[in-house]
Amino acid sequence: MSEVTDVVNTGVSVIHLMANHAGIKTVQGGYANGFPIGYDGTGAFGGSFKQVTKHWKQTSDWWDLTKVDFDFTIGVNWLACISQNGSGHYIDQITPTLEVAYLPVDFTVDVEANFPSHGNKFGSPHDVIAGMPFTLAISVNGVFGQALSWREEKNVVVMGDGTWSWPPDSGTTASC
Amino acid sequence: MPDIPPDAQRSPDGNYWWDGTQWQLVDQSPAQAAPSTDNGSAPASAPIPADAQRSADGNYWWDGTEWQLVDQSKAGPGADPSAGQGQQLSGDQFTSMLDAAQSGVVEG
Repeated sequence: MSEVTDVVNTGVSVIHLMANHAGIKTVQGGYANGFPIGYDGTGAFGGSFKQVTKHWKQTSDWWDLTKVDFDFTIGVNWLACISQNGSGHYIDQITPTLEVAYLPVDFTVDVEANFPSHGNKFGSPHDVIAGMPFTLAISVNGVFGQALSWREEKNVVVMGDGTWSWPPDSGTTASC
Repeated sequence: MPDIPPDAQRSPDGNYWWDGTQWQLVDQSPAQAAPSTDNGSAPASAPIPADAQRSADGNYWWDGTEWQLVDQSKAGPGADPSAGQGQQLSGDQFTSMLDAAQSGVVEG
């Protein structure tokens, strides 16, 4: 197989999910991917889904003070370990996820992922491991006598070998 | 205080409206929504349901018909008298609450 020149994202550049006590809404959906340039995934072989999640659940101390409960989980799914013509570790169907067990009224949770048009190459020239870095912005808005906002933005990386980084955490064990 | 446009977005508890920039407190007249202090009908010792709506200052709770005074003397040990759904938090407290609530990233 010839050397892979670049890893590109031919999917979407923005995914935006939103939730409140009434449910979850996909404001802007779709998937991102990390394939060799000029390749749309046709003929790809294999792949296994990976998922990482982060959980927010009200603590008892704060519940004692506010009597407000919330419980939601934000994650990232991607299909790793995809090979092309027998080599490489590419990625497809990268998307953030949002699950809600409970949100009070006056609470909204926004998750927005911004993907670049290009990813990164790791591994060797003849067995490329694709990496896709993106920003994951999480915003929580609530009303506690006044409108309040909390925001966290992280630079997340998912890899074709199943490893990942979501600072300050990371998973370094390849799963292919 | 500006008049509230009839189509203004309201907060689910009805206490705030959105002026296009920020949430504004609804100026409720005493007859409409201010916690009543003179009805005298509330048995001070009546248990307050855990999910009862509280006034913003935490001093009253809604019994489904009218506002009742929270009898602070009945609060349990360590209870915060200002606790309630109407609890006012600062931005720093809101941040601390959410920071405390989050766990590490896990696989699966």
